[in-house]
Amino acid sequence: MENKKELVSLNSKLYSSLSLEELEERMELGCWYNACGCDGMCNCDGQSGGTTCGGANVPVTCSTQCGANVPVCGYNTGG
Amino acid sequence: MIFRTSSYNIHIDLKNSDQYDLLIHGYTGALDLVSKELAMHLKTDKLDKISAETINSLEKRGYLTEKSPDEERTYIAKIAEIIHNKQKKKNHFLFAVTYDCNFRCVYCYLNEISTQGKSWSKNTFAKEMVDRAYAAMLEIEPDLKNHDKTITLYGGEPLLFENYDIVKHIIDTGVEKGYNFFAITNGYDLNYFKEFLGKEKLASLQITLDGMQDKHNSRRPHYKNTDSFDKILSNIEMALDKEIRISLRINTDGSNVDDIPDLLSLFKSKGLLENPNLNINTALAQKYESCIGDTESGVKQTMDRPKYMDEYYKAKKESNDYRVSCQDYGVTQTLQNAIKTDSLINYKSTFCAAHANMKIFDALGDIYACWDVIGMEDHKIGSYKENVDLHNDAYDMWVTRNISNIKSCSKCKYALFCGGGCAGQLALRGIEITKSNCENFPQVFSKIANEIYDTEIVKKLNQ
Repeated sequence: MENKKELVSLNSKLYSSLSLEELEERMELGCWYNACGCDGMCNCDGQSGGTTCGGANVPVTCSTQCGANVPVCGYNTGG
Repeated sequence: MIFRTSSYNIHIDLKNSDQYDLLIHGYTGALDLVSKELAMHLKTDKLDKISAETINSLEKRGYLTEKSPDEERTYIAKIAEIIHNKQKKKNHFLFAVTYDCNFRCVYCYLNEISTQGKSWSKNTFAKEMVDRAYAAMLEIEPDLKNHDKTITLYGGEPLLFENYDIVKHIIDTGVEKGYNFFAITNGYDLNYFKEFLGKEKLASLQITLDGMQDKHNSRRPHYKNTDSFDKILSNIEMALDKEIRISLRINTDGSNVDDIPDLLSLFKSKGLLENPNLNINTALAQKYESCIGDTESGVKQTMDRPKYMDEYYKAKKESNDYRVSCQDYGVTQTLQNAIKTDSLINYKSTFCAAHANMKIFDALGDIYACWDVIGMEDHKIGSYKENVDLHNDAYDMWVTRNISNIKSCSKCKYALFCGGGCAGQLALRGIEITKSNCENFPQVFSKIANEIYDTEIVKKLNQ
């Protein structure tokens, strides 16, 4: 962690370090948030199998490539 | 160079720090602690009070920019489009097996459409329509690589005993084609579907319990039997024994939030709380004018989301057994991941998959994007009866919605964290989905950021 007294950076990877073309390429490659094979579609953290699709933060099964994208975002659902 | 403070700086006042505030950038993904003094200089645009070295750091992180406000808006819109295009590629398919249900939940979204009559709600898939839906999946996307291998079963109640034959046909056909299944079920008739429970078939479930027995039964009554709680609990145990992953949902409002600790104690006493296949989560019960607020049913006016977050954090602090996640727009995980793994922030340009890749087939041959609006004529995005026809005004409205084309969103510093808010809720309230649904997002974001400071960042600072 970089400590400059006035400014302590908590992360180093920034979108601004990529051109839009590079960003598009990384999207095409699939895994770009985490080093887990996540295709980035389900906000999966790639570790716990949790998805937060749509903000529901509902941990449900994440299939092989974290791409289950089970979108448990429905309000008041439950069968 | 001439810099200005970016329009996308998110200042978080840290309640438990005398020294720092948190600064987050809305499109570069930077997360920084800044001294309270520096935060004030930035807020009040007193850049002359800031040292050259710090100015340089702030520029690198995006908090100071050469871009004009219009250029920043254009830039964020481009990022949103790139993310959205990626999301659209993989299709997630759902079968709304039936609109029928054996529960009469006081808050059910289907209350909105039940006025269409009893015979309408009894519509259930026929085998021919199931086969037609599987064919339609390939017509929509011929490349199986772009199909999510998990199909969701939804309803109504998808696992009704009387629909056993059609559910069997859906699952058997899907498994033959290489899919497995996830069901959003009330869990009442789950015992009749035991043979399908397994990783290759019905691999995961979402089941809802709204509190302890009395509370649950009053909010989610079976249409005939007054007690649904015991049967559901027994079915949850049965499914966990078969190593099925269960997401246990608690639709939460002011009337049942206090029941959650007791429910957790019950699960603990049964040895279920430690089960790795059980995830418990709360979701904020939403207020639909026609269904919530009925005091006779025991459902009080729902909480707003900031209050819901407060209750959640309070409960978590009170007990180590409060192993429950909450509906926080995914912000907790997004910020935690960026800090713990030093990865790019997981921005999103849409609120959910309804605007990208969800295709819900109903028994009548219609396709919907959002499961909150199935059965609503205005929100049908197409049909698959004979051929797939996916292009109408509703399709355009649902599938193009991202923060770059929601008027107020591209100007909003939170947009790539929020995704524009839930369109389904807007639709249920009769509001155009081209609008944003902010739902107190800045307040909620601030609460989450403060919590992450208290629980994660302080630890990191002390390392």
